[in-house]
This record gives sequence, structure tokens and C-alpha cells, in this order.
Amino acid sequence: MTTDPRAAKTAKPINGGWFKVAWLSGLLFAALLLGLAWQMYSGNDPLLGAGTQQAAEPATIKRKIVIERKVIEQPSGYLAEAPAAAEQQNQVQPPYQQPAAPAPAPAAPTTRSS
Amino acid sequence: MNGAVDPLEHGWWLASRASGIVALALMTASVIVGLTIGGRFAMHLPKRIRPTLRAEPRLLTRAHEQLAVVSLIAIGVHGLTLLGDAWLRPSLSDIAIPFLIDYKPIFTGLGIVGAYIAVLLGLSYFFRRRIGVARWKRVHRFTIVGWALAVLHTLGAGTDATDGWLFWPVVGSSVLVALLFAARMTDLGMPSRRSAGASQAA
Repeated sequence: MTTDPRAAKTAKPINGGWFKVAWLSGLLFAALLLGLAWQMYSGNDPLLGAGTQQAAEPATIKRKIVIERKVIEQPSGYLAEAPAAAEQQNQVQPPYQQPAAPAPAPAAPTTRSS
Repeated sequence: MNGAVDPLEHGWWLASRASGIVALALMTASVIVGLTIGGRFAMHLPKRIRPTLRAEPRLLTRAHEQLAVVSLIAIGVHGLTLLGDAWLRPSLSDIAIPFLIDYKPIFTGLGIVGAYIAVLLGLSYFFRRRIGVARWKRVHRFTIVGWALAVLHTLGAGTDATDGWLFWPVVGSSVLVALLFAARMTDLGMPSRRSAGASQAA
């Protein structure tokens, strides 16, 4: 072992440098590994995304489509012939939806005789 | 787990991604230091601040060597850890033979070619006396091709390449390397022997 201070000065950065580069690389690797694992766990992985988390969560309503009832005026004798069909059409409506217009009452016997 | 993705199930893949990023970072640093040495850009700095910045030619050469060797180890880890990935399931030939793997074959193949160039030209440093120093220096300049292929591989096949935390540092460091390379090729950084001598004397 040499006691020459000049030799110690030249040897130190070389050996220390190897250790430092290897150690810092290992540290960077560990930090990246943890970061990527956390990214994956939190559902932000670029490839997997939320993964199975997306499937496990209940579906959220993004857009509600309201189908309005369309009232078609027909000759008054039309519903008189099929009042049951009109009743059935009212029942099919979703409960939150109000009918656009009251259903026309069955027409009285027409005066419009042929 | 609340149904979230379990990172432990993808441990090999995550290790491969992390080691790939480390490999590129070390390779980029090594290329920057190498170009700084080759272009003698550190000569422009006043001599008294060079030790503080570790810009002495001897220290730069050591740093270049250390960064290059550790980057080669990281490249090896990057490839070998991918073998354990349960989703990709690459065979040894998939990661050793360019353009054979099914996953983004072009960009993955470019990465494999870049790794071979880096390994061959990097390790040739230890045989430079046998090769001939002048010849070795000429060949060693092509290491930058390996680095460029590694960058293309990262941007084209890297899972994290679209994320800003990786994309912008890769692009930024690539611009720096391109500028240093252009300066090196045009000898912009190379001071004349007279000015170099004056700088040494300062």
C-alpha cells in the first residue's frame, strides 16, 4: 500500500467513479421500477390503462338519451278500432317520462258515415 | 386490490422497462461525454473550474468508460428481464435476432441492432491496442449509430415513449447530442494547438 499522496489522489476518483456510476444507476433503476409499478397500480399504465379495474367498476352513465313520444294524428276512427294498442303504448314508456300529450280519448261513434 | 392491476404480475416487464430507460440514459450520457472529449469542448472552460466540473480529460475519459460499461450491463438486463414477461413471452431468439419478434418488429429489431453495435464497439475499447488505436478510433465513432438506433427503439417500441416524462428528456438529450455531433464533425469545439496551449497555461 502506497503512502504517496499523489498516487492516492489519482486512484480515488477512478475507483470512486465506478462505485458512483453503478450505485446511481441502481438507484435510478429502483426509482423507475417503483414509479412504473405505482403508475400501473393506480391504473395509469400507458398500455394496460386501468386494466381489470375498469371492468370491475360499475358502468357510469355518460349520456342519457330521452326518446320523446311522437304523436301521430290519425283519423278519429283509427284509435277507436284499437284502443288496447294505445293503452299498451302508454305502458311501454319509461316511468320518468311524461307523455307529450294526453292520449286522445276514443272517439265517439262517428258522424262521418260513409 | 379493488380489481386494480397487480404490478407484481408484471414484475419482469416493469424491470425490463426500467432497465431500458436506465440503459438509454447511461448511453446518452456516455455519448455526450465522448463527444465532449472528442471535440475537446472542455478546453473552452477555464482550467481552474475544470476539476470542479470534473471536466479534466482524464476524469472525462474515466466517466465515459464507466457510463458505457454500466450502460452495456443495463442493456443486458433490459433484454434478459423481458424473457420473463408472461404476456410477450419472447424466446431467446426473439430478443437476440433482429426483426424476429412479433411485437413492433421494426423498432424492436432496431433496438437489437443498436445493442449489438453498442456492445461490439464499446467492448472494442479493451482491445484497442490489438486493433490499432487509430483504426479503433475511426471505428469507435460509429457508436453513435448504436445510440441513434436505441433512441428510435425507445420512441417506436417503448411503452412509456408517449408519456411526457420520458418523451421530452429523450428528445431534449437527442437535440443536445445532435448539436455536439455536428460541432464535432465541423471541428467547432476543437481549439487550435496554440489556443489549447494558451488555455492550458491559463
